[in-house]
Amino acid sequence: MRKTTWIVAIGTLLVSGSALADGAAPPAAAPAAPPPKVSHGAKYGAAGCGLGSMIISSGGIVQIFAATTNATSANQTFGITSGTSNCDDTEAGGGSARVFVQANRVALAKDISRGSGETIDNLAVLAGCNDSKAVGATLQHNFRTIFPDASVSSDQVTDSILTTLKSDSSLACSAVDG
Amino acid sequence: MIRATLGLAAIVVALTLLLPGVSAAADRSAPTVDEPATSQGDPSYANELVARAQAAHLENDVQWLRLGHWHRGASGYIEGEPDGPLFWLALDGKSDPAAELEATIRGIWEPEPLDPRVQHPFCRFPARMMWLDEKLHLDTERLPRRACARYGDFVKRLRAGSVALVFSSYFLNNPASAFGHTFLRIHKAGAARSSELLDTGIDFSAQVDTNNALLYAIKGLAGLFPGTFHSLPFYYKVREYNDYESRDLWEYELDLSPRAVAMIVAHLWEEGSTYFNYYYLSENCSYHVLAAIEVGDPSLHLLSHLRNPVVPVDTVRALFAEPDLVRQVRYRPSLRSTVRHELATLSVEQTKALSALIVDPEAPFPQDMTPAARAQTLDAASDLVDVREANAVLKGDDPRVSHLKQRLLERRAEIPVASDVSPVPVPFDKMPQAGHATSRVGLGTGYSPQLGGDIFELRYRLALHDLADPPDGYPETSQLEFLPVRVRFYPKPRSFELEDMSVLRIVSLSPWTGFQHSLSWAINTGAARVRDSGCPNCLASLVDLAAGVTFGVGPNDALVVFALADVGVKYASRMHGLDDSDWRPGIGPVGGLRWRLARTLVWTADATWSWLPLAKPNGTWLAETSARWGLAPDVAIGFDLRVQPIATDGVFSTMLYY
Repeated sequence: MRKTTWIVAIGTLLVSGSALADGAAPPAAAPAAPPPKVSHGAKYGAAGCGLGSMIISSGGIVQIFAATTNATSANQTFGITSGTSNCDDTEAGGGSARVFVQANRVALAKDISRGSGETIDNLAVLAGCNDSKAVGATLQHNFRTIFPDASVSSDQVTDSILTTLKSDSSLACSAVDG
Repeated sequence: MIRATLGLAAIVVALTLLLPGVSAAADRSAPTVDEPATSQGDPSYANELVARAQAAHLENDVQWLRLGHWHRGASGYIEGEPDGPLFWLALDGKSDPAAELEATIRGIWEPEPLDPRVQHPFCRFPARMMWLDEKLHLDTERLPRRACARYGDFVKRLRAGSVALVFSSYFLNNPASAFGHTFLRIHKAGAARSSELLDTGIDFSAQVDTNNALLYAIKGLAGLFPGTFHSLPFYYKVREYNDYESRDLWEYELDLSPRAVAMIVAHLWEEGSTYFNYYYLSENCSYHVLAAIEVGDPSLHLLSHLRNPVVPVDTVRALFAEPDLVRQVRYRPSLRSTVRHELATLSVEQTKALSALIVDPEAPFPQDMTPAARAQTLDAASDLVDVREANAVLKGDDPRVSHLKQRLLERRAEIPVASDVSPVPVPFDKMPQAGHATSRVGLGTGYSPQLGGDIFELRYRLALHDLADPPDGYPETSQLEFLPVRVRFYPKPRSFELEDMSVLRIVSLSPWTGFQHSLSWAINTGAARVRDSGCPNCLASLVDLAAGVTFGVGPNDALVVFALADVGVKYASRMHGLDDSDWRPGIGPVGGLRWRLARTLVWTADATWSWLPLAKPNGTWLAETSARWGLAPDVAIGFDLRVQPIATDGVFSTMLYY
């Protein structure tokens, strides 16, 4: 998080680094689409809440300096008073589950394949389920339905998860609609 | 007192919840405007409150000064750190806490802002209002009746129960992870540990608007980037740091009263409406995160333990300077640390199966391998792929990797056994606050027959750590130094001279494992005495870059050996360099070792030979070895021996870390 004044000297030597740096990438990655208007009861997509759109990958030498500002998350999306984005919902419900799946997709896929894990515990809370062990077992059993191939969209994954949880009444998940 | 303060906050939130339409459960969008006041209260109450505040000299109150981030600068003048205009109600509020206090009280009766996106002062400054209520016992009957829907929504979303400071550790092989970083986790009241990912992460970072390396550096040093606070689900931070950047997370859970937590949340809202000019060396992320904690409780003194430059690990140390502030420390291993542990627990057969799987996901298991063992192997395989192919996994743009992951996970899901995760053992000796202090001074005495006999040496280093320093709290095989300087006094002949100095000196050794062949590298830029016939004893500027491999021997990389290829250039005005010019490029191998012999006893040695094209001499070399022994947490003694073409010198020194 700190840099000495003399880094400027290195910067001078490596000014050509700006040519090496990925000049095309804008420093702040905004979400892919502006948050859609929410109307009562409508589902909303979590497009743009994935980790890939949040991480700024400026190439080349600038990456080193990025360590000093830690400007890696999409700053515009998560300003404190600038209003929440879609991606900020962590209360129980289908909408927040959708965002969670998109942002935690890689870890969630692994945990579901294993039938246990932290992302399953948290997803169980979002879906209003009491027994995350049972949730893990059910989701593992239905892995192929939930993740039929590598390119399935996160929205579809969420839908499959919520449908799977809803159809198993022994799980008693209370927030699987939406 | 607590009741009154929370009472005011409760009124704000209750009004928010009672106003129709704002809290409909199905409508998840946050309110974007606050409703206007429904009554004006008693405007003359403002004068009474101002008089009482001035009589009590509340402008000097510790918590008021913290709420405005007023500090006495180098010039002796008081200045408030926030730089955005919306933070100051008085014209000269930034330099006058008393004026700002009066303007805050009067601001309660201010008319509605013309721009509906700007909050009314009453809603923009909930922490100030809480503090005023505590000090002056505000009569809510005489205040305007106002609902702060946006702030209320923020409080509701956070549902703050407790606060933890989180430190994400160093991982030198990824430039973005070179320095530590801190942020906050606001834990939801009543939530279980198992739903921690749903907590709120609060961080402070710069809004960067350039990709040009030079501009980036200048703007960051000169405070030309605005820094802002952000709140986002904690899971984003875990995925970003643990998974993508291979950084361990250390969480320091703080023992704060409910009032302190409410104050912190309220002040974060206040800070959200402004920006702070971001200075790398002082007002950086870890500084503001620590300041955000201190605001909650006037009896805490955290910032006073910091020096410039503000280094993130020092902010963690500041927490421990307050008795009983840190309730618990928790460790979240990075994916990389998790993989290391998983691989270490596999049997020989499992390791063989894993090597096959990461190339061909259909590779069969030996017939007699139990389902549990197969599950364990597949788990390690998928984690290993995520670490090795972090970028491809994140972006999903490499079909080979995506297919590999998909098949590994499908095969794992076919084994209906839940993974029995053995937790990664917590590396207590690597807790960041357990490390030696940030800066270092040393005094040495030595001898060199060729340099005139006795040597007295003074060393200084602005920040961080080298390979021989006591290893606790720092990555085992990494060196990151800012402004190390050595100055020598030779009694015969009487001369004082700079021996060497660096602006930046980094060595990142990553021992090869069976599955990860990482690059080891080093960089040095500064100046050093040349001790060969090319320019005997002259002080040359230098830049050096090296890259190569490192191998570990024994457990925990106690002994590592490395081999690098080094390319560098030296400059000195008397140099017999390339074509007899002042510049002398060189290229050649570097080899060496680092051996941690005991908990605080380290031995390092390295030798390098450089081919100096078209120069006299045609080649040069250097061999050096150091031993250092940490005697007490911030005291060490050491011996350094260096052999070069025209001189050999050895120095014993005592070092103090502070």
